This record gives sequence, C-alpha cells and structure tokens, in this order.
Amino acid sequence: MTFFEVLCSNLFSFSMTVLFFTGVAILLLGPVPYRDKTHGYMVMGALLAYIVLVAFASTVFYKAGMYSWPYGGGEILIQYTQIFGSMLLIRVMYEKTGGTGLAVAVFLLAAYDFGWNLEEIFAPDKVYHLDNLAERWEYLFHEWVATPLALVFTAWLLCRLEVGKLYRQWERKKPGAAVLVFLGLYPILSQALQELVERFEKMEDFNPVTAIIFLLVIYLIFMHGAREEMHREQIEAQQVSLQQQAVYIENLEGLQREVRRFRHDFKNMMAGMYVQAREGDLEAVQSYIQEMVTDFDMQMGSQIRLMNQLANIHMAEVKGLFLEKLKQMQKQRISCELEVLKPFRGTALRGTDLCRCLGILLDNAMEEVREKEEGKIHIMISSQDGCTTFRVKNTLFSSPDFPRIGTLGYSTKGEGRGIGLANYKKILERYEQALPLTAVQNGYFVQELKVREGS
Amino acid sequence: MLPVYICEDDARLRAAQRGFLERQILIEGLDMEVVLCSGHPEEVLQAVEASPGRGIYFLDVELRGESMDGFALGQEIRKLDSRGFIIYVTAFADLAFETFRYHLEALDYIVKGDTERMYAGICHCLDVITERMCEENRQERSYFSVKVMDVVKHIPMDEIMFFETSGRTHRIELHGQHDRIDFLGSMRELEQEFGDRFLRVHRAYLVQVAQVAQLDLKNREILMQNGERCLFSRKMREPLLERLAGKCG
Repeated sequence: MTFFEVLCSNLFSFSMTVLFFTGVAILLLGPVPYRDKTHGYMVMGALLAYIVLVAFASTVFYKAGMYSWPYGGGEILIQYTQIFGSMLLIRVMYEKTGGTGLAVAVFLLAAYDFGWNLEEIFAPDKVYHLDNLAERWEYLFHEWVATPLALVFTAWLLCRLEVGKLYRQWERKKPGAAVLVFLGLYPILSQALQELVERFEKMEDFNPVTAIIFLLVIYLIFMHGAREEMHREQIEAQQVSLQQQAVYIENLEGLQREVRRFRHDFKNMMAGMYVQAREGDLEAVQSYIQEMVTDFDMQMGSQIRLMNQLANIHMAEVKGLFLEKLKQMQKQRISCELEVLKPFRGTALRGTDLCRCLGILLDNAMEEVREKEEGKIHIMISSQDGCTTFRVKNTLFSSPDFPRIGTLGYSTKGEGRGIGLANYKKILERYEQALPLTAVQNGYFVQELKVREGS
Repeated sequence: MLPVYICEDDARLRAAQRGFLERQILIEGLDMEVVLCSGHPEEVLQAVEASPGRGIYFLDVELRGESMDGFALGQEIRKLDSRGFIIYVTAFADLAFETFRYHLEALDYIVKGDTERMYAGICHCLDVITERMCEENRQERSYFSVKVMDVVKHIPMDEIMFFETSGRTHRIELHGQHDRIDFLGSMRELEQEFGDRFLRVHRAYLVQVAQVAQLDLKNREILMQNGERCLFSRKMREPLLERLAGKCG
C-alpha cells in the first residue's frame, strides 16, 4: 500500500478513536463549556489537528518500520504522541492543565485500549493478508464495525459505573506526584506487562498475570465494600445527629414554655413586691427575692443544666444514647441528674461496645427505680488524666444478693432477666483498658466503668 | 489542731467567711485555727507545702483571673494532703458535686448566694468534720489501697473476701462485702504484700483466711462469709485445713 492509502485509512480509524476520546472526556469532565464562536472554532481546529497529527505520525512510523522495534518501542512512542495530543485537546476544550490533563489523557488511552482489546477477544487469532479481498473485508469489518461497537460498549460501561462522579471525587484532592509519574508511565508499563504475559505464556498452565489481575479485582471489590461501609456509616451518623437535633429542639421548646410561665409568675411577684416595698416592709421584700431565686432554679435550672452537661459529650454515639435514655426517663418520670464537668471526646473502646455497656448500666438503673417515688439516678462522666470514668448511681430498693451480681442468669428482677451485667462483663473481657466496678454504698447501687482514653 | 485555709476571690466574702469561722471555732471550742485567707491559689499551695499535715480547706470553685480553678487547686492540695477536708464554696447551686467528690473526695459544698444559708452550711461542715475525727480516733481500721487508673480506692481489709484473676490478662477482681472492683496488678505482688493473712488457694484465687465460712471438700469449694464461692486446688487442701484449724484454735 502506498503512503497515501495508509494515511487515509489511519485518518479514518483515528477519527473514530478521537470520537471515543471526546465521548469519554465528556463522561469524565462533563459537557464542553461553550463560551463563544472563537472557542468553538478552536475546539474544532484542535480536534482536526489532533487527528491529522497522530494519523500522519502513525503512518510515518509504519512506513519507517518503527512498529517492529524491539519491546514495542514504536508503539510506546505513538502512545506518548497520543497522550500529548489528548492533553493539548483537553487544555483547549476544558482549560485543564498539568496533572489533571495528564490523568485524563492516560485514562482515555487506557479506556480505548480496553475497548480495543475487548474486540480482540472475538477476532480470530491470525495475521490478515490485506492483498486477499475476502481477508481485507474481514479485517475492515473488525476494524471499522466490531471495534467501534466495542468502544461504544466501553463508553456505556463507564457511564454505568458513574466514572464521572468517581473522577470528580478524585480530582477534588490534588493528585500526588507519585500518582502522576505512575500514570505518565502507562504506555511503558502496559508494554512491560504485555511482555510479561508473553514471556510467561511459554510456560504451560501458569501465568502470574492471571494472579495479578485477580488480585486487582479483589482489591477493587474491597474498595467497593469499604466505600459502601463508609456510606452506611455516614447515613447512620446522620440519623443519630437528626435524632439528637429532634430531642434538642423538643428540649428547647420545653424551655420556652417554662420561660413563658415564669414570665407570667414573675410579673405577679413583682407587683406584690412593689406593694410591700412601698409599705417599707424590707423583710418581706427580702424573702420575696429569695423565693424568686429558688423558683428560678427549680423551674428552669434543671433543663438548662441538663443541656449544658450534654454539650460536653463530644462523642456522637454516646450523646445519642444519653439523649434517648434521658428522654425515656423523663417519660417514666424518673428523676435523673447528669454531670459532665469536662469535655468527653472518646475512649479506647469501640463506639458500639461502649454504647452497649453504657446502655446496660443505664437500663439496670432505670429498672431498679422505675415507678418508685423516691427513686433517683445520678450519672457522672468524668475525663481526667487520660481516662474517663462513667458512673451510674441509683437508689437501691431491693437488697440484692450482692455476691451473685454479674453471674449469668441472676437478677433482682426475677427469672430470665440477669443477662445484662453478664453480657457487660463479656464485652469488657476483650479490653485490658476498661475496668468495671460495682458497689453498694449508703443505700445506692453504684456501677462504674473506667476506660483509658483513645482516638 | 487542724489548720483552716480559705481561698476565695471576693474580698468581702473572704472576710465574712473568716469572721464567721473564727467566731464559730471560739464558741464551740473546736481544735482548729484559720491560718490563711487568700484570693490566690498559689499562696494556699505554698502555705500547705510549708506546713504539711491534715487541714480543712474552704475553696471557691470559680476563681476569676487566677491560674487555676477550684477543681485544679483541689487536685494539687490532694497531692500534698491526702486526708484533709475539702469544702467547696460556689455561686451556683448546680455544681457538678459528684465529680468533685469522686475525684477529690470533697466533703461538701456550700452555696454562697445567701449569707444565712452559707453560715448554716459552714456549721454543718464543721460538725461533720468533728464527728469524723472522733470516729477515726475510736476505730483503727486498716485499709487496702489500690490505684485504679486515675483514682485510688481504699477498701477496709476486713471487708475483702478474695481476689480473682482470669489468668490471661493482668486484670484482678477484688470481691468485697459491698464492692466488686477490677484493677490491673499481679497476684504474686498481692501475695507478698499481705503475707499470712491471705492464702493462694488456687491459681485464680487469693483468699482472706478469716473470711472463710465453710469448706466443701468433695467439690473443692470454699464458701465465704458473704455467700460467695471459689475453688481451691488439691495440693492446697492440707495447708488450708491447717490454717483453718489454727484460726479456730
């Protein structure tokens, strides 16, 4: 074939390639921003120039016999030409330069290689004699019909995999130098891998590349799993925080009601005081003020106090748990106080384990004082010197068989209930940094958990 | 004589507290004396350091413009005087007092808004201290002290039944009359510390001999005074019987 014939054929095939490139680039970076006519012309011009340049280079390489260089040297060279061209194209179309341009260009090339190789699987394993008309038709069918189909399939696959979304996530954090070098070496590395495959092909029934590919697939599966897990955790955290906010708003509304009521009382009290002040009864005025101060503490103090203490818990799961339990206690009219003097951030225990333990302690306390007039629960969370103490104290009504507390199946509340503390012990067995304590002190049942600080 | 220290940043309140305390000590004939009245925590610490011993401390919780608050001051004082009486004076009735009591073994707290109530609070504290001192003089009880992370627990020796270890970890569980405390330590060291009073009857158990109620020789079980059970090993059978015979005789 003459130089011109080859060039024409290359021009046609490469137009297809560039079409594919453009398509995938749009998948990755979104539609080409249209600014004005000049920009449009420039994009068209760049596309044309790109096609002509690469087709011409490819033809020259072919004629000069560079494709038969050892280790695919010519192949690598033409791929670099393509990468370079793609980078220029992306620059004109999207004004993306440097690392981003390189990454996109390499991705385009790799995607193209993938599609092309996909078609190869179905092509017969033979060298076409282009002089033979039948074989030439077959070759052209593969080159101009099957390959484009494979490329369209590839593009469809990428679209389905939401590659654009992934890419935009990746782009947000600046790609590191190592990653860019790795990407830049794509033509050489893929060639080396190819060499490897061919080298090992000589050994029968064994090719480490299969293992490598398999490993890669497993890695991808892991990545996918991790992403799903992360997503799930995010949703969970959001739910917890939503729940927290709902309870918080509820609390604020309660507070507002109290303020309104207090305002009303306050006016009455002031009126009464005014009369007494006019009469010069200082003592009565003093006792009035005293009453008002106590009332204020009684009426609004408790809610504000509770919210203040909760604000010091900086571990979302634990805060959620306490909000939930405090709400339950309020519903069951259990009087409860909470002390969190210093900010609590976290422990060495896993969040879920910590919540399970605290849940058990709180449930125990609530069971004991439920429906008891004088029942009281006091909770303390105290972070000091690298460890945190959780202390739940409740009034004791039944006298427990103290030595048997914590043994499986024992409970002061009758049969089949004593799972709680036994479970609690089981969870803590796994942690050296968590020390429990139970005690009966002056009519109170005290449960304590000390945990070393963690991340 | 117990020295009394006052740390309060409001000069008027400070003077009022001092006056009331001095009068009260005089009237009741208490064995106490107000030795320092200051607005600066450092001064208090220096004074305590200069004359070590047991004291009574009235500390303001909110020390404005000072290098430490009442809590931190309490921590420092505890390092110097582990048996002193710390009383907190605060403007807020919603003090996290359990936390103060837990970490500093604070005796009580007094709300300073209303003078009458404050004086009543001080009186109450002085009564409690006097009572405690009398009680301590009456009974000399020995205690087992153990550090559990950031606090030291004191358990009366005569309330301890036995120590249990799971073997795999350094975790030891103290079984007491009213307590069940986990801490990190070594059974061997405990054995050495207690000497004859305790007996290592099993790899996992260190038992206070005086607390043994019954022996079940068939199942090799010990029943303790509080109803708890633990095991003993075959080779400890003889020594155990011997010690129990000694106890009875």
